[in-house]
Amino acid sequence: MRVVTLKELVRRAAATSRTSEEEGQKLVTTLFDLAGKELDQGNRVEIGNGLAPLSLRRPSKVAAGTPIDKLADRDEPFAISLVVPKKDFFTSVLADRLTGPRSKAQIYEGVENLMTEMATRKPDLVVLDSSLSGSHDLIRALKRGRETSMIALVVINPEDTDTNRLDNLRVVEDGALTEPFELNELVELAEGEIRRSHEERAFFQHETRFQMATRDDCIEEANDLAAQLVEQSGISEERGAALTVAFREAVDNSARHGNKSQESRMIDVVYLLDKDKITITVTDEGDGFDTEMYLRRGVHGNAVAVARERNEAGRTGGLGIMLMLKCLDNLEYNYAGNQVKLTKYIK
Amino acid sequence: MAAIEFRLKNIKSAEGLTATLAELIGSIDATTVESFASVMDKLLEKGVRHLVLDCAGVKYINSTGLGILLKYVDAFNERDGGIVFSQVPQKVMLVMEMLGFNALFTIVSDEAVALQHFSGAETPPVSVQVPAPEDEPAAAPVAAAPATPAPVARPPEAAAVPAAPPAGIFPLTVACPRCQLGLKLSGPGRFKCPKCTSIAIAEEDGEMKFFASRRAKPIEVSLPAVPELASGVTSLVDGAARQAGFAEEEAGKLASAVAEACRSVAEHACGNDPNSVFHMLIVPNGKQLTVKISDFGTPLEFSPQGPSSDARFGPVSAVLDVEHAQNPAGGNLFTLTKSVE
Repeated sequence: MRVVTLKELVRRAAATSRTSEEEGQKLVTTLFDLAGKELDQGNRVEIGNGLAPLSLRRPSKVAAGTPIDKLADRDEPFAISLVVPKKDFFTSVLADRLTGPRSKAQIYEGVENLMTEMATRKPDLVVLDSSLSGSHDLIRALKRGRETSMIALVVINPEDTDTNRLDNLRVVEDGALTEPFELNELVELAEGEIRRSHEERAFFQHETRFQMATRDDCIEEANDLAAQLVEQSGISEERGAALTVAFREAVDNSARHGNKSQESRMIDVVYLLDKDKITITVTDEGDGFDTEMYLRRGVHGNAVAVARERNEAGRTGGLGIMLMLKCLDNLEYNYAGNQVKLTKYIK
Repeated sequence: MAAIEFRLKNIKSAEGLTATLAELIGSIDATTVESFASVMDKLLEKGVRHLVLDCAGVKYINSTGLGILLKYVDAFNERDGGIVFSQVPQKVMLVMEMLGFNALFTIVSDEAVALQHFSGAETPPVSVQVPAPEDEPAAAPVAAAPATPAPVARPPEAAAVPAAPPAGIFPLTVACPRCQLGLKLSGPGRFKCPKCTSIAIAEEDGEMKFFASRRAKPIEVSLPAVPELASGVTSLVDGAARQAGFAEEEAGKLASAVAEACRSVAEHACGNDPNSVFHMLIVPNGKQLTVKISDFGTPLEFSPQGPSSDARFGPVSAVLDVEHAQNPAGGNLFTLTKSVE
């Protein structure tokens, strides 16, 4: 819990809203009233650990794109779940700011409360304090499930979080902010994510992104996760099995040939399900390769002959692209050769 | 973490034939292939001729694992013995079938049938619930590749094919109108005929359009690293260069330069080892000749100026543009290009 003086709070309110201290005092008073908080606690005010010191400035500009209150084909307000360690003054201010004509924010203390609520009611956006116990499990559960993966997810990371560090497999949120940040940054990000998610629901039924270190146990976990995602798609067992075989080959190629088995290098995976097909994109941090030659060999080559040739030369491998081509409806590499897109139609 | 464990025991048939039964537990992939090979080598050293690989405990196998299985199937066959696979899980069977290895492997239901096989009795076929191998080749999906642009919007030859029945359209089996190869299309989209490289476009309603490729067909050659054979590519490159639009004299120079490049690869990368193989892709297209050479030999190093300033490839660079890259699978990738002036 941090403590600031009321005077300091008013000064910051006035500075960030570009008004006089008198106006700042009114703004703080209004917000305290909204939060049901008494002002007569001396001149010291406690603020929660969960969220950054907040700017009280109203956003000076409308976020780019269609404002969520103008999004068509939606009657009920967008539901926002704010998951924090404890409900306090500032989380109430935040919920107030996230609540508008077309949105309603609700605060949940702890991950479990949200999970319980989600059994009956699914929000459009979850704003999650990543310092909470179980936050990573919640991210994984939300994005792994077909029913919940399209819920927009914004994560607030504690100060000093190294977002570039990746020690294991991480299911990736849709948006993130690291403390300290301005309140309007979060509001704009939240509105943007609601808008994006709302629009993407017209095209996609399941979207999951995950990243992993180039390490055998992470790769094994990724294979298991991909199999779980494919299983929910409605694709037949045989076609799904063929896709997971191809995925295994793609990740193995990225790890061994792309990232040269260097643990510090990352493999990024995006899984997308639409009404017709599953698309999985695997990207590594390697230099790529001559995709044209390998694809041509994959299409025209003889797997048995290639395997025997490699065996005679004392080498292994060489069949991965051939196997992927056989397993998939479409196999596509980017120009550099460090990203492969696997496509399998549902039927 | 992937691992592979062997549980070995000897089994004997009623006729007295002894075989080794290996129960495999784990996965066969790039991470376990060395330990798998180590045990298999020991079995060979011990003189085992008949081996039953019980695959009931195999979680999965990938393409690398499949390649190593073929190596040992060949090795046991050379000893007048053999490997028989029993209790193959569906997922493993699927991988074998996808690459056609099931045709080479003897796959049976259990060890008793495996022993019958070794004893010379007729082996009943195994019944595994996986999709039957396709008897018609699937059309290759059109893959994005830098030098393989999509066909132009108005290709010269387009043939409309009568629409397929409206219900249950896909997978759709059609014959390529150019080469008559049967194509099995999984869904609507663009596909490339694997035989003649025509582009097939399947609409949602099953209507088909075919566009004949205007691109000259590439020539793919695999050569042992024998310097004398390199000169054999001269006539191929000469013909391809003329096809790309080069004059007779220029085509001859290009052919000689490419042959020289092949000799250099054979000597410097492959050490003139006749057991080493390198691959060539000759593409005469768009008034340009492109020759790609890949090997799995010693990665060659060049100065920052590249192969053009190197004695090994200097004469070649005088005739064509030469680019070098390390082959991600080991060895080298050379790209030789020359445009018609």
